[in-house]
Amino acid sequence: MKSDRFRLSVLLCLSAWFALPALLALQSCVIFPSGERRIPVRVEEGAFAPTRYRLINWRDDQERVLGAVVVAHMGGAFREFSEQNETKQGWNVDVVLAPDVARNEVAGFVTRRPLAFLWNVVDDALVGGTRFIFPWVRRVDRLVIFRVWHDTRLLCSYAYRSDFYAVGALSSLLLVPWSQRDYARYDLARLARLFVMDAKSDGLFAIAGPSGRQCGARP
Amino acid sequence: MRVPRLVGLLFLLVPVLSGISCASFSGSMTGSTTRGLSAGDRVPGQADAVAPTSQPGVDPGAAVPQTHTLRVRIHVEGVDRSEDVTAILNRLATHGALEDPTAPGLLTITVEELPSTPGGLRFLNLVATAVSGLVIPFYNQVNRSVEFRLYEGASVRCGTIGRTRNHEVIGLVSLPAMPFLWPLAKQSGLYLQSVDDFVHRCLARP
Repeated sequence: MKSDRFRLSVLLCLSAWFALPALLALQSCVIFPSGERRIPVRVEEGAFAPTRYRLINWRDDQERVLGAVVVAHMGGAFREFSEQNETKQGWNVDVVLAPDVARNEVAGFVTRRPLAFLWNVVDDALVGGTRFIFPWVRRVDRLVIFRVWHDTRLLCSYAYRSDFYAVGALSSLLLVPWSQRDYARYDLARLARLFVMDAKSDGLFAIAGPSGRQCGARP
Repeated sequence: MRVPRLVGLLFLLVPVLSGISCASFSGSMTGSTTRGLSAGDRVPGQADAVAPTSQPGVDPGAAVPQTHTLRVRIHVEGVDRSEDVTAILNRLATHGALEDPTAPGLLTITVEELPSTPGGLRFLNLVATAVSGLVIPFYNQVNRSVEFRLYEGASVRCGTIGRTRNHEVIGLVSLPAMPFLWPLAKQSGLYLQSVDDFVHRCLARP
């Protein structure tokens, strides 16, 4: 009886010793922005023609929430903004999250970005080897593409990049005060407003229909 | 003294081997849906039924009947490898759907990624693979949906949604199989299979 209790307590201690750092590492993901940011200016509300949107490649629940954030921050500029049905009549916007090689397919990741893959594997090994003390560092690249259609005619494509670093593991707990927790959401909202601004300057979404102007390429 | 050396060797071997020992043992189209047909083409109740697709391995080009020559603008979305895009366009061209930038019709091909296996299982699998030094393989499921929409005017004349599944196995087990079962080759085969499915359902002459 006594030995059983002893075994149980040892087991509990061991499992806590192994599980706690893992849990902490998963919970404490610290987010840092990377690089310069273009800041949009405010655009007059309801100035654009009624438009339908379609979200493409926003995969899981978390990403669907981010897609909804993008749509919510675009919607104010349009007189009417609703989800696309089967027809492509009038103005349409496809909000595409570009496929990311680092996200799903391992073979694609290895061949397309071998150095990033190598860093990921080495980093994982170091994190495991130092028992979740070495920081777990990942760069998250998101490329959001807005494709503007008018009556099955593709007029313009705008691509905007949203990058940040996610740092995990125990040592990242020290960085928590400087973390920007909701950065991904704010940045996608920024991209949506940037798109609205650029579309305005290119004369898209006019109620009278498309003008003959070319769309400018932007970073 | 021996154990640290072994650990060091593992640290060297694991990244290198996990890069190259990646193989897809089987991949398949798991389902396909037709929709947006005009009333004369098919029975209305049949439009949303999930139908079995052609067997993998059978040459699909032979099974597809003669089609009309169709000139459309083609827009491919969500395929990041240019080889896959050209393969899809070539396969469509062999079936008589030719790309023509001035044509009134539009064919959009939209590839979306779908969720893989649950995250908890993936994490456990990753830990087991890392601890065992790739003896226990890492399993990764790549699910995608391939949607075709053929527009006539502003509305969809015919469209299909195919779901593809590719299994990636990363470990020492798959090292010898890697050159023959490279997952990306399998994936482009799956794209072509869904192209054949679309042609069979939407472009085939009755």
